[in-house]
Amino acid sequence: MKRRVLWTLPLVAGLLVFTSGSAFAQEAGPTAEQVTKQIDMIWLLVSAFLVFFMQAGFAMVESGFTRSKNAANILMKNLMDFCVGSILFFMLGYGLMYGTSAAGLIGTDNFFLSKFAIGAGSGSDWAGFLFQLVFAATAATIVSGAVAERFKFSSYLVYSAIIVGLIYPISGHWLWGGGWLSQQGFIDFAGSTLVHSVGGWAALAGAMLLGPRIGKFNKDGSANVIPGHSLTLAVLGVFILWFGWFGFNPGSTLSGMNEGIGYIAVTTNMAAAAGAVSALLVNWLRTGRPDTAVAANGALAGLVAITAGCASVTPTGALCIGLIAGPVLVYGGALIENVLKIDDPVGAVSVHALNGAWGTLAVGLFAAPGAGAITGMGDTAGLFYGGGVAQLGVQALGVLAVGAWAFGTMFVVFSLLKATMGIRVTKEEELEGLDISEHGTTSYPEFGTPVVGTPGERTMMPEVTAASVKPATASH
Amino acid sequence: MKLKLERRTATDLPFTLLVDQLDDTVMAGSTLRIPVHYSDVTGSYNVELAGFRVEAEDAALLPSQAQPLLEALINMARLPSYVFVARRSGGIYPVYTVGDEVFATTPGGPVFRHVELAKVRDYLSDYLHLTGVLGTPGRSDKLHVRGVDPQTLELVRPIFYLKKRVVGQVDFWAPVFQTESTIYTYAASARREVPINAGHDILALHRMVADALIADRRLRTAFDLRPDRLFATAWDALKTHCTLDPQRLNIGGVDIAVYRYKDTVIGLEERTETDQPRPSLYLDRTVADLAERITADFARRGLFNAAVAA
Repeated sequence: MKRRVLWTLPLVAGLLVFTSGSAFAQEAGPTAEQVTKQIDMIWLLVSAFLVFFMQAGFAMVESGFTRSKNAANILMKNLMDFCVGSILFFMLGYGLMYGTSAAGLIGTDNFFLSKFAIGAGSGSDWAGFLFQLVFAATAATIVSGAVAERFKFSSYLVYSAIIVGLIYPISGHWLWGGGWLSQQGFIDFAGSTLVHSVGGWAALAGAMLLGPRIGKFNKDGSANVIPGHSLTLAVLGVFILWFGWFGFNPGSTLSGMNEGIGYIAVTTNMAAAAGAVSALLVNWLRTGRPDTAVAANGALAGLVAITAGCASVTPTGALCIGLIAGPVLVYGGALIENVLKIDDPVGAVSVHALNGAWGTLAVGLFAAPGAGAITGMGDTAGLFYGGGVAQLGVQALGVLAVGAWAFGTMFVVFSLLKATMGIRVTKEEELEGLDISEHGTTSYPEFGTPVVGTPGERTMMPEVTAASVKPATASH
Repeated sequence: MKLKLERRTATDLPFTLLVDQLDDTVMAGSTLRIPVHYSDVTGSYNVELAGFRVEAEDAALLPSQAQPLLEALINMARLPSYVFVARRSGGIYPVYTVGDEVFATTPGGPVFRHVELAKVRDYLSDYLHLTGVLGTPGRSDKLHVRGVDPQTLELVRPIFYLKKRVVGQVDFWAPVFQTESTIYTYAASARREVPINAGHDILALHRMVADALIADRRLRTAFDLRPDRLFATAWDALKTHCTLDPQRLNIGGVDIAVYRYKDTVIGLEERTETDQPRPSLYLDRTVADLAERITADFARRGLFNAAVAA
């Protein structure tokens, strides 16, 4: 064996010299422009792949925070968000978002990518489409967590198609498609509002119309905890999302030649860490317990909040944004659950809608000209950097406009679905679990499935069938 | 966890099931001593574990049969401190105590958690009705609370309840259990406990809980809270400190004896439960006030029409 390897080495070396020599003989080296273009495209694709991987993070977070009897269902919804989203964004969404603008409101062409050439020199277009597609799918998948454990799968597919095909691209056009918000000077670098708040407000509309899960609220209005089946999966999902965010934010420079990509990665990371710590501490003071799920969601809250301003704020500014994201998550979640009585199993509304809004407003406070100089975002200054309240006002306008658009349209969509197809499974299906009732399967066939007659099933199975185990008489 | 039988001399309790090596639980280092009963009717030996009975014709089989049930009963590294029993359906629902809070877990459903056992019972009962496990609310099974003896895992009945049922106000209900030297309950976010004191402890605990609820703005007057369904022995102990008032009340055809304890007037309603006397007490300042209170409560319970009586 060793002799055979030694024998082949001179042959391989000879081939390498021959092929490389002939290549140099046939063509000149790439131009600086070609190299730059290729680096940008590779950077864009790597970022797109990272953002695509966030779908796995969402799937793990949402399945981990929900019960085992609904795991297949929530995974299916996450999977279909990307699949349905890919088709609809290709057919319709990309054109509405980046097509020729009509009055700054909506794109009007390039449906089915009809304006993209298939030939030499078009590589960046395709990479750009893929990058935008993974962002669109991110907005869609936020909703599945808020409506988890009770939303009809068939209706969910329709929702998923509508948000990626229509709702997200239209508001996206307002800024990233060169629409009216971009003309106002609105800053949302990677999509605190355009991606996360759109998903978050849609999630709020869905959860409101759907109603709470059975057993979530008591008659006196107090809320019960319905534990998810795996904190391990949930926290793994948070780490995957955090990792993917290094594509989401730095990738939004759209250029590997932008020297700010490392800087943006730092601001992104600072906010995530600060969000986790502040959520942990605030909730610890509030409840007396350092809650794992809250800390994990705190990291996501920080990430969502920094997404708008990651290229415009200093690392200290990012730290402040993250530190405030924690309380926004904790008290926002309490408001949604205890005051509004809305059941959001994974905290999607407080993570994405509320912190998306906070992060976008924070640009008007923390935008620093120095940061803009390294990332190419210009010399915009927020209130705390001597820029006055003008930028803050523009940011508020964007938050309100996109929020009203996303919540209003999705409220109508969910209402129509409710009136036609129905959006909620039956009580029996919900109790049985959506894995069985919707998909005819079980995610964990060998554990965690109730079996009548086993001692572990005692609490919900009055008819204990095993001959040797009988409920004793109550009286003494 | 290690289980073994220890022979005893008594014929009705021929063995004790010893459970030790409860590692990985909060009971580590302690030994459970579960009595093994013999039934002539079935000709079998049985042990009762927090309300679940394990039976075997051969006593030697009990340890292996009891072990999986015991393991299944351990939740959050502890055995249940209470159970809720649905008599009609035979369901038993373990309740665990962690710190000041009690927990009832439901497989694939919510965790009901509160400092007051009564709240947890209400929440669990509503959920079980909603999910159809206990039938239709109002016409179906109720959940009865039992304590679990931490040494023998036998069920222990509350020695009485502290109850507030006033029309137009939020109900309050708390079972009172007895340890070797104290009686205690959970109310107003804390464990309320007084030492056993020859019957005085019943009204001492009543006062303590009433003060806590008043401070919590959940009770307007201490007399709205009353000791209900006392064990006969508990009432007998308290009665020795009371004087029987010559007046008797007759409300809606129910004869009520009146006692005086210090400056409190006590109305005694004789009640029974599973053929055992479980008297209920009404408390007030004067006999007239007491009569009015009992009338209102009887009307609430539908025993008679207060308007007609008036």
